[in-house]
Amino acid sequence: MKKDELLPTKFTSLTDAHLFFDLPEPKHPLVSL
Amino acid sequence: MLSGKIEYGQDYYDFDQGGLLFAAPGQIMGGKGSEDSACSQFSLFIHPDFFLGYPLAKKIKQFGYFSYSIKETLHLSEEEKNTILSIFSFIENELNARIDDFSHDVIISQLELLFNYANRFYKRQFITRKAIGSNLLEKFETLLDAYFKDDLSVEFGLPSVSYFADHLNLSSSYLTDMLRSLTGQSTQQHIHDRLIIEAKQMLSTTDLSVGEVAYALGFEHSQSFSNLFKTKTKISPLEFRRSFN
Repeated sequence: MKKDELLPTKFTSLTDAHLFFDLPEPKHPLVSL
Repeated sequence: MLSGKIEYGQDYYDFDQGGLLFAAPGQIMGGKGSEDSACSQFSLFIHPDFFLGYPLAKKIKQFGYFSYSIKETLHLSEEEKNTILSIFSFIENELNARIDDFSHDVIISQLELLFNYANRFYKRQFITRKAIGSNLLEKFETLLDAYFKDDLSVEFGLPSVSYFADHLNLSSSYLTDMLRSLTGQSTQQHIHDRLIIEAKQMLSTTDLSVGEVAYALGFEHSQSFSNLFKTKTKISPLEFRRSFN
């Protein structure tokens, strides 16, 4: 694998997605903006 | 919703005027940032469970733009952008204010409004980009011609929507929605109509059996061919042939 190759990241929850994008914890577990 | 430039594959996509991009669960998205790429965005994350028990859970499947690619992003006018931003603002206020018994219903209503507006704006985009669409229709027809002319149906079977979408460098959903807005018919309906034209030609000008015609068109089973033929023409392939004798 090349060093700069991007690996897909799978989110199983909104919290996962927020952590990945360095966002504050979501206020609702199922929807966030 | 985003504005700025996004690097995707080898290309940059310009959303300086603002763009709206949808993605379904499991869809792979991404791209890498670069020093000269600047992008600001609003991201609305919705867990599929949020729709459970609401009619929107079923209705959302009708919105084809959830499987469009980034190249098929909705480019918004200033007025459209303000409409979308006002819905985002409403959702944000609802999330920030309080979570009570009514929050879920209120946010679902706003999401449905957002999806309906996006649907309307995409239809507008198909119309305002009609020249591109007409060119696309021409290319699609050329590919469909070539598929039968080059006997690809014998080699690869029935022509599929994804075959044409791949060759036109589009997602299947976008191709279908674009064709539907231009002609009123989906990609699959275009393919079926073309299959019937080819079938009628073979049945009326050759001695091939119904099974051989089905095979030549790419059907695995002649019964599937007969069923499609009867659905489209109201008569069976044999009845059609007899009408010529």
